[in-house]
Amino acid sequence: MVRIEPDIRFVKDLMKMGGGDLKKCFQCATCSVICPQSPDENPFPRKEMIWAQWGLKDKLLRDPDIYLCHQCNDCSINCPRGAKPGEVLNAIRNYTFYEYSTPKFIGKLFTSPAYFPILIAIPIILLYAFLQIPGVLLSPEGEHVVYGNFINHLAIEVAGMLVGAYVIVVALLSFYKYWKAVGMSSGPVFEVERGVEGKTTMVSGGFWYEFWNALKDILRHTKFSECAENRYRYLAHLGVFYGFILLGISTLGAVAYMYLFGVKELALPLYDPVKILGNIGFLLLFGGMSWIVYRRLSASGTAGKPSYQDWFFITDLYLVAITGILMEASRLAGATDIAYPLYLVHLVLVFMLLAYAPYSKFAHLMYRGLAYMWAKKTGRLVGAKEASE
Amino acid sequence: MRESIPSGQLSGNILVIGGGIAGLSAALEASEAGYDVFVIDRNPYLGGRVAQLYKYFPKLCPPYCGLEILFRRIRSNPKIKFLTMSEVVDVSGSAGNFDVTVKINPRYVDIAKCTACGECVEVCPVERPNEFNYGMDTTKAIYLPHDLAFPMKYVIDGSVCKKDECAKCVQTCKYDAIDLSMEPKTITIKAESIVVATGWKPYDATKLTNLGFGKYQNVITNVMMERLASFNGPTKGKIVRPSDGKEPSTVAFVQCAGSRDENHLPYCSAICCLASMKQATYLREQLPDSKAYIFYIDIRTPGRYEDFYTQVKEDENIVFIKGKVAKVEEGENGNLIVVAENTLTGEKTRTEVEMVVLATGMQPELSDINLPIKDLKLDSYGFATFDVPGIYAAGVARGPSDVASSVEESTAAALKGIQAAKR
Repeated sequence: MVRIEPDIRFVKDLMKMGGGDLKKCFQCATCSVICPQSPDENPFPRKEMIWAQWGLKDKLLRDPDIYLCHQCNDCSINCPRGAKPGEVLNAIRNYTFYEYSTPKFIGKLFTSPAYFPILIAIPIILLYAFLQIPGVLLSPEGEHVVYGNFINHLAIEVAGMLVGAYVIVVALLSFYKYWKAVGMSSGPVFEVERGVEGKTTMVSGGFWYEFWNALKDILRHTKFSECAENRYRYLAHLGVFYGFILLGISTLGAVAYMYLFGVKELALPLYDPVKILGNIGFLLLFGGMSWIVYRRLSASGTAGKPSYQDWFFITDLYLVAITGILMEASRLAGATDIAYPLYLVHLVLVFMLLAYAPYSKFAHLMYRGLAYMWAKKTGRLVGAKEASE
Repeated sequence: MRESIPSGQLSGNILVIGGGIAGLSAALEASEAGYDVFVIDRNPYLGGRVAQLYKYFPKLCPPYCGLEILFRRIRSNPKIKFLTMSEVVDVSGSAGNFDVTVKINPRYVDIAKCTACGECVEVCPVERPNEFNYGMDTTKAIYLPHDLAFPMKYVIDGSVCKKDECAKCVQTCKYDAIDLSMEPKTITIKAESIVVATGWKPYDATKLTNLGFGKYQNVITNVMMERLASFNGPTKGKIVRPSDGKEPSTVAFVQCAGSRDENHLPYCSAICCLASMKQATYLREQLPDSKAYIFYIDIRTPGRYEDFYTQVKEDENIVFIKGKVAKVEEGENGNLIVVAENTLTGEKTRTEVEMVVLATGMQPELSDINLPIKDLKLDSYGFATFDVPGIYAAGVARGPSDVASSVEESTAAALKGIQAAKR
């Protein structure tokens, strides 16, 4: 006897968080069939749709399938009822950001646009307080824009590291909560027989094995590349992903210049390899983001309507890229009156991107990564080809 | 009275648009109550979609059981007049005093003279797709619409006939019945009320891109299955698949192919569940070793039709799978793989079958034909909604329905028509 305990409040929350049409579903299962990523056994998203309608919060929040969905949106396009399963699964993912956030009251701030003023006030207040610390805010002179003469680089780095440490701690706590929830330590383990006559039996090889396999899929965007209706997502996301990584590498490069090679003046010339890397990163990130924003706004609606959480993340990342490149441009142009205020705005935006990563859509990186590992462990994502390798 | 091509102005009490089972029923009820009725139909024959069925509900008798009775009543009733190959081009006036302009397209065969001997067909060099059999075979440019056509008269497809260039049929016809110089004619009919019984057409299955119709030969529609099973169909009643003429040992019926789907027909077409179950029995009766799979979202068998469902379910070789087919893929040797999620077990099923029948829904003709009656109100799907004084809809023009309810509605429309004519 299965006892169903519907959580009505949860249904309403999902509807507010991007799954507004979930009640239209009549369980025909077109979505499960049309989905290019759904496995044959207990395919998604049909089962998630009825769990969502019934308010089965526990089941949904412990279901890593929601992260095996990449919102290609084939399901929403072909749904005969306009129930938009792609958007409903996105809403459930948004809910997991809150559910597994640490501390939860901060996670709550990301669940509704009503809290947006708080989210923007926090970095502004922190930045203001930060600049009050003696020696942080400098008074730049001369016609050239040198950001290091405006705010002390070392102070920025220390602050960045503190924020980074906070992010890592809360992210790990969230990661652990989700790890427990999906049953990574107790769930089924995928076993596959390798070799022609089943001579060797391969059991999933523990954390690092799964981690490595999941990482390979993430780096290659294997699952994204399976999208049928919205192939743009694969390329656009790939651009954003690698753009972000290149920018990260160029940041590390800049730090290395300062502390390993003793470069004081960080305004690198355009031909510098670190700068080139950074600029390519910008182009990839900006191009990918523009593509995503364009498709998400396009009238056909085939890319899916973004939820508030999507917009929060998309807009922030987009603005980080734009303010970043404008900073570079105003530095090259020597426009001091634009460059320095822009730097402050950029810092606020970067803070929102990084410090909020465990709570905002950015968190999908870790939850999805974990779902990939779970799928590798249980054999859920292993196709026939992979099993026979 | 038999059909003849009139000229000038005619008048009657009631004009019925559409000579299918609904229109004929309405016309007969009204004429047998003593009113003068005109029936006009676009086709060269009467009987509409029902004439194309193999068997129909509720009794599962061949359509000519019912239609033949209607035709006999028409023959013996001087108050009913019909025009085939005719279309309404204009309607003016109001209840009690309509002027209906009708365009009569040329048949090129004189109905009074043709004896349906068929010698013309022998000499005709031109072939055309046979729309009566949904294009599964061909006829000559001069053809009998079908074996039991009423009126039993030949007709020439003017769009393909080479006319005077050829004219072999004209020379062959012993009765001098063929006149290739016929022109369209326009006449006016005065009527006091109008019954709209324009019926339906099968939804265009090529729009269901994921189901493979038009791409894979062995994916057919339910209306095609009726023709395949009919003794006067393209295969003389043998259920075989189009690609190689093989008797299919496995057939998948795909329910809601375009129905209950806001990307296609948002409504339930009401009859397709029963039609597929009926067709599964055709298959099982003709090929006892065969197996039918019916993929459905919900089985809808209203009222007493539930008994039929119960009866069909008893056959263990008719398998019901709850889950909509959302993909049809090509298998080997012309076979097909239908993919669905069995929502009762949560498994994606890939069923290899030798033929697929799409249960396409009913699309109202009114959604397309732009009937020139400005007072006629249609809903967003193209079905007639509320009656307006003097104009009454019946049958599938009103909404998806089976034959029995269409006939009942037609009787109601006939009474309404009589009331308007009486005023």
